[in-house]
Amino acid sequence: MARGSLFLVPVPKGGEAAEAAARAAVHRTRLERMFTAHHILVWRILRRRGLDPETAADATQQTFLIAAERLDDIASGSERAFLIGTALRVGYAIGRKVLRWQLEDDMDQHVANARDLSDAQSAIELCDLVLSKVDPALAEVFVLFELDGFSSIEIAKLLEIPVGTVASRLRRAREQFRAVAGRIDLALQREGQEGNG
Amino acid sequence: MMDPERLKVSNATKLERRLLSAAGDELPSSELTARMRQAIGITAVGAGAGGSALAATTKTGGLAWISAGLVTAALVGGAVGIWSSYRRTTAAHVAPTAAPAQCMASVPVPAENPAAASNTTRHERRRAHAPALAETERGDLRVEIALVDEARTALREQSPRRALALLHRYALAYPQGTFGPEVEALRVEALDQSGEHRLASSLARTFVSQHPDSPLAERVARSIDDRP
Repeated sequence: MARGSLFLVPVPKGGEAAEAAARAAVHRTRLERMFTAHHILVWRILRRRGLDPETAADATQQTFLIAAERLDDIASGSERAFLIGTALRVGYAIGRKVLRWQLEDDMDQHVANARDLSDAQSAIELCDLVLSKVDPALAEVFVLFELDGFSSIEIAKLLEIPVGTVASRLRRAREQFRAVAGRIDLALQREGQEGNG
Repeated sequence: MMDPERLKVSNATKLERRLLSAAGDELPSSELTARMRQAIGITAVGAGAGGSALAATTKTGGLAWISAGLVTAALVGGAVGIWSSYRRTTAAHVAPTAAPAQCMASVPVPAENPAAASNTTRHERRRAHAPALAETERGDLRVEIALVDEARTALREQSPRRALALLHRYALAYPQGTFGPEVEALRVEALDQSGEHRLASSLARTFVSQHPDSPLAERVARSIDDRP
């Protein structure tokens, strides 16, 4: 394939066209399977970085578009790792450029607004509030481990950091998460809601 | 190394468990999922997830996927126009790695699915109210990828000068590019590889201080720490 022809690739003819169509079908099917298997995880990881649902969806799209560009480079069995690694980078770039954390700083006010923790949305918002108070590098490890079920070894590979660093970040993330959650618990008790059992 | 037990199943408080469970179970709405599928080019509204790709491929003889990437790119910002304008900006130095998927996604085949186009028009209208990515940013994505890719390839081939030139082009063309941190990290490696160790160390320190929470920070820091 001629180099420098990103959008100007000649349409293949004859047998080449059939071959290209077959290969395209294989790619499409693979991307479809990747999307079906992993889009929720990708979206959720982006959500826990503080992106609202719509923006997380945009970032998920971007992640899969990058994957579509890279299908031939993604080894079979490493799709999830590729997608999560890409999502983390895309999420980081978006957060840096556009979004920032969109959560209120006034935690007590936020807690007061979360009237009913049996409502999933309120609980999710509170969880994101707590995570926003955790150091971002620690929160990343925390989310992957506690919410998404990755092992320390998997996280180390994804973030390209030593396993020992994962362990120490997780430990510190838990301390921070629990400290903030404890404050919320007290606030909820003051509000008369069911808190810690 | 043994992983600790998940907080949720060990000694979490009731509140902690509630928060973790709710966040861990959150799902994108069906509308958002459909929107994502549409944008990626694997839309099959009403079909089961597993069979939708095959069904769509059969109906369109595979051309849908050939056009999918372009349709997506066109819908999100007019990729061809962006590419043309990018080429004017960056001369003829973009040499994509030419992965087949990339090439096929780039063939200018007319949209095969008018319904998809109309759905996406509605989607675009919805997006006008959302704090989302700029359309041109997404249209530029593949060009950004191509540049970063080639810089990586140059580094692998021990051509740091070429890598630095490509990274310079990227920085000029995309001062707010999606892969800004990656480019900076590659620049550290390229400088180091070209013998500019002091400059590489200085840039690495700046990178780590400016992007302490970047997934790349650890790697960049290690790259200079590991040097004898």
